[in-house]
Amino acid sequence: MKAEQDLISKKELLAITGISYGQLYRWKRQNLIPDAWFIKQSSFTGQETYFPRDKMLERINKIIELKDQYSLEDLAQMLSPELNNKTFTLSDIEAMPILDATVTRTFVDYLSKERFSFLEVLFIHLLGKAKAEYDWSGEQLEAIVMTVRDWLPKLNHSLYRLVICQKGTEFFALLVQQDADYHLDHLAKKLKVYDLESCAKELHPIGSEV
Amino acid sequence: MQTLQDLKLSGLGISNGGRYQHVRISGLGKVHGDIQGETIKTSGSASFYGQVETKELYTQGNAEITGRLDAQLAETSGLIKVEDHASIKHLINRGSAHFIQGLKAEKVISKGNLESESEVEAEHFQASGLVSINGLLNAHRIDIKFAATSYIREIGCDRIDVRMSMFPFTFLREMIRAQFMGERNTAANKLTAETIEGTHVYIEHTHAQVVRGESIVIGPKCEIELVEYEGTLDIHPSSTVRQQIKL
Repeated sequence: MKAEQDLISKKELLAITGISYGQLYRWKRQNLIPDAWFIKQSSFTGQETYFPRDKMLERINKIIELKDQYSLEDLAQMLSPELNNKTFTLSDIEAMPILDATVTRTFVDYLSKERFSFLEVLFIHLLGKAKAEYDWSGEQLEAIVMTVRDWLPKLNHSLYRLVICQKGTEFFALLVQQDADYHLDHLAKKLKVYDLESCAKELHPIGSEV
Repeated sequence: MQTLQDLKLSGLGISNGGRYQHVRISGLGKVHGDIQGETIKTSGSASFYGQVETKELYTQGNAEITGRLDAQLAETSGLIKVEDHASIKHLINRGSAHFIQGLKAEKVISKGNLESESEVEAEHFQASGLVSINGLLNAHRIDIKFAATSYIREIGCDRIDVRMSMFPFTFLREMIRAQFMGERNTAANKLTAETIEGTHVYIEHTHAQVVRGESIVIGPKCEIELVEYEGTLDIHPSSTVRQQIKL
């Protein structure tokens, strides 16, 4: 499942887009470019930095296009909301029509918090989608919410895929990094793969436009 | 809203943390748990086994934080060690500060030793004294003066200025040091880096594998393996650049 990534060197990126080192490093500081996209590879001069070509070019072009309309903070919120400290209150979440009310309630009960990070809201959204598709019972939903609660402290970006699987009558969930391999037990069946990064765009109205 | 109380530990003191107005620790103080305070001042030896969140942190003597540090302003003298990530808007370090999981700041002024085991981010990074960063230093502007034997693995910035010239006061200081500490080599100040990338680069007494940028000035006493530049490159006659490529 792992596609050989097409990479672009930092030097080539700067030449194609016309941005300066100063801009590139500033955008990295502002979380406009995820750290995970900075890929180190050894070369004759020590190490060189490469980026996933298509994603990086698309991102840089977006930033150039939007940087005069929005502040860098706003842009960071749109492009990589999971890296920002913005939190959502319970009423913010309840006002989001895209989220499933039952999932939200289960989440709030299990996490027992008043403010939620973007990543937490993202999981509410994901589980809502999955619940609608597989018609989970309250118990099944609780089980997965507990799993997610244990995952959350270990995550700091959304470059993951959530894989919903079924073995016999049991559902189970797998969280794998975006371009990581995984192999299932032969009795288990992969039902659906949710890409966290693209689901994150559905949550952010401006983010989905750009 | 309830007004917060102050916390004062002196002599041998132990606290379980919590939220306070002003926190003052002198002598040997230990805080087990997360602590929040408008201001936190420590002298003597203070250990925080948990997170520290404050508007203003002042440390003297020995301070140790095992959790994250979140401060608007931190003025440190003596020894401070932060084991988890530190986020400090404005850091003024006059002693020896050691960050294990990196540092994110707007402005860093360091006049002592600044060490980090991982990435340091700042808008303005200003250091005179030893800097040791085992990762990337990513800043808009970097000014390093009189660096002792500094090491920064990777530098990425808009503008960097590394100056080691020893006039007039520093020259005197070096003379005195040579006299009293038996140090003959007054030119021991040097910055070592693997890569330096910046839009505008000015460096002196620097050893680097690669320097990349738009306008680059290689000042005195540098040894650089490779320079890649887009605009202009000047090299001081006392410096060596083994290979230069104009892009």
